[in-house]
Amino acid sequence: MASDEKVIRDYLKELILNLYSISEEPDDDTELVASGIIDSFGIVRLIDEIEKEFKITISSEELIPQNFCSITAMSNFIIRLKDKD
Amino acid sequence: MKDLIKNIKIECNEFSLELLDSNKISDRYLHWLNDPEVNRFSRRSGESFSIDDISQYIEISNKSNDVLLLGIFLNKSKKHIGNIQLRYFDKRNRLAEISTLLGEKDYWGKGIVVEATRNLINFGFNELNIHKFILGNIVPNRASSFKSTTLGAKLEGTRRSHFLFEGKYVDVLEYGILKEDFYKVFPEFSKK
Repeated sequence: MASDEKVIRDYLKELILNLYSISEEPDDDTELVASGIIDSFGIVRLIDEIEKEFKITISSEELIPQNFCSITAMSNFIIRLKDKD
Repeated sequence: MKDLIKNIKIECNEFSLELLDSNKISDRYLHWLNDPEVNRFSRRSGESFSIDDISQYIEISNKSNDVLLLGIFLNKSKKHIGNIQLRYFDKRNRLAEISTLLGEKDYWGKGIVVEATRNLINFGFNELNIHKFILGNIVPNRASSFKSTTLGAKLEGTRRSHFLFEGKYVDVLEYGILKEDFYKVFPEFSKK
């Protein structure tokens, strides 16, 4: 795993632990949306923080569960957006 | 449609959806309608409502053959925490739209809107033979966009500069859900 990707994953795990009522850091592939950890109300704060941290803009088209369903998915999504800029 | 739903009660995990009548509404209903935070992204934003407005709205909805206005009631306490409405706006093409109002802010962030909408959509497909559901929201309402895609909806179009939001015109997003979209995400519902 590239070091950038590890930094992103570690950041996301910490962020989710801080934002949601869970007792331990999620694994890379913990189901975040289907399990209800991230719901439609909670997503707003998450994407605000991600946009600020990585200086990216998440469009309406990208607000789909596939981009946020796990740490792996979110990390891949962020890297894709950063590469686009 | 009205014959089918006279005593409707759609059971969800910790709440149920029941026909809304004036006897069941909470005192707090009026408070929700006049709460800027609750109404920030809706057409109600900036308007004031009275008890008479609520009574009239319920009466008109319940008389209409196109509208199913349901309250969201907690199972244990029977507390009324919000509403969900199905409007069967195009009978020829079997199209309906769904809108929600979760007035009790203590229940935000608990997946209630998604669960209520999911159950009503399933009811609509199975019992009302609806072909497609439409969900819409303004672009700044990101929670609603995510709710729609979580339900399997696809973004079908954007109405440009269509809604005055906090002094500026913003785009309105229109999402559509077909049976195959919905039951792909919720295969367990296809048996119900």
